[in-house]
Amino acid sequence: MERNKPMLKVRNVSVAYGHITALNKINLDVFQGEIIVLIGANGAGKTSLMETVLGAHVPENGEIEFKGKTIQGISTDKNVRQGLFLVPEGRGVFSTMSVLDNLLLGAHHNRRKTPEKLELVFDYFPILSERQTQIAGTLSGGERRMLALARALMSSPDMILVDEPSLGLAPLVVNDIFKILTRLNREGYSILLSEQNIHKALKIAHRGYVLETGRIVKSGTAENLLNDPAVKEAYLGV
Amino acid sequence: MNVLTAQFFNGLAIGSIYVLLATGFNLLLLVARIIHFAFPVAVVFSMYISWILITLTGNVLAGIAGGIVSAVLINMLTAPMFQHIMNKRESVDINTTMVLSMGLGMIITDILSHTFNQGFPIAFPDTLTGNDKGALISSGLISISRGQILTLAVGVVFVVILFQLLYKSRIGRAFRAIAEDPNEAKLVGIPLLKTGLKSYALTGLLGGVTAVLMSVLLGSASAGLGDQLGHKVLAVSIIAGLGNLTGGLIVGLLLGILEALIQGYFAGSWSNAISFAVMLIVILAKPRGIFGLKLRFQEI
Repeated sequence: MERNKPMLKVRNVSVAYGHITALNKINLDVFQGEIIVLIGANGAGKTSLMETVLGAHVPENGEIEFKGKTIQGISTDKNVRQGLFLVPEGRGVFSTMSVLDNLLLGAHHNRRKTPEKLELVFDYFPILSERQTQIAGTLSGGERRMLALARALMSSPDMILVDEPSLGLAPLVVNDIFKILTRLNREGYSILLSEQNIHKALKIAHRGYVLETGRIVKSGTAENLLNDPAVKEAYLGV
Repeated sequence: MNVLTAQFFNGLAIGSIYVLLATGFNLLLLVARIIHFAFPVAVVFSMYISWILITLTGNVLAGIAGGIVSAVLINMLTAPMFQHIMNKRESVDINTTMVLSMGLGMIITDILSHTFNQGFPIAFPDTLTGNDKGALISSGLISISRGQILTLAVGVVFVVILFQLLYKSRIGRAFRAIAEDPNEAKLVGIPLLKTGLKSYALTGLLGGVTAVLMSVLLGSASAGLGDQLGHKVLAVSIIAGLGNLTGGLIVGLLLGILEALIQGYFAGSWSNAISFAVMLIVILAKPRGIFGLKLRFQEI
């Protein structure tokens, strides 16, 4: 896998909600085929960064490039069409709609080969195949997270932004989710992952960035970050 | 028994009108995220356009087409105004759209009462209503008009098509996603304004068809009809549970039947007061609507 082609370039990006600065001069790179992990406490700006990359917030200044094209200020739906997809934190799925409807929503813009994509998704997540007609709101937390990931695949993305996938899930389910993320990455998807479960995330990631109150305070290879005394103390509780 | 059957049919026909109007109102609420109080007023305006075209050209088809086009146009032309507010929905309350819509409704009502037909109620010719041909089915006291059958049939067909569209098509899926949570819908790449615009077009079409059906069924219209319908549609939607499409179907039909029964057994002129009294009692007992709210205002 070629891993020097830049997929996402974030340069000096700042975002404010009213008077509150959410992101302060963020610089970040994701190369093709990489898993990059964003480390940070609640409110550090992980979700803001992901939503800004997707186009949900317009940065005050700075530049975002995706696949070589400038994308800041471009609407979310256009970015989705270009191959970016966010797996949001929390509920993440439309709970009044069926599993199949949720999946098809992922393919809203990219309808080609929908049956093939469904087959692919059901290969990753066999449980969803059995539950196609079930209402998403009746799925377990882990199943919903799987559905949100599966919905991302339906859009045929080049890069998936995954926001806190392990939040509130049982350890066994978390293991499954991380296995799937690793498999997705091996098959060529670039992944930007935000996680509080840092140990597990750094184990599967290539590199990572540490966010604190909207700034990047540290970055490096996953191995270096895992062995960094400050990271260990602040985020691993060692 | 005869009165009961006759009034039941009357009620179903007028109830179908309420259902179509409430469905349009609810769709605009769910997908375009606006409270379009004046939606029925725009529909009555389209009845007037129909009437003018029939009067001028003598051609019923021109009137029907004109009524439908008019309703779609009003929706599409006012959409940018509402979408401006929708775009600012993080800082603006949804009730703003209701004020906007009420203003629009008052302007339309005033135009109707000052210009067309010198403000007098309009009457549609028999070529449209088919009243000259007499009742379609007639037995004793029971008589069912062509207009009633047509309204009921078209109402059923349109509701079926609409639900198919909502639950079986790509655009319907996007509508439902926005209805459940506009912010999440945006994050999965549904364009809110563009999809919203499609709901204006669809409800405009629905409104236009309703205008034609009302022209056939009622045979007349007046400037005040829009406001009256506006109140009823709002009441039906709230009693069913705001945004609850299935609930709107049932409550719309029930209101039609209730009114018809009051007209059949008591004084007809009291039907508005009595049916609103009944609705007041229902809303006191069920403040969230009989079938439950489908729209949480904090998520708009």
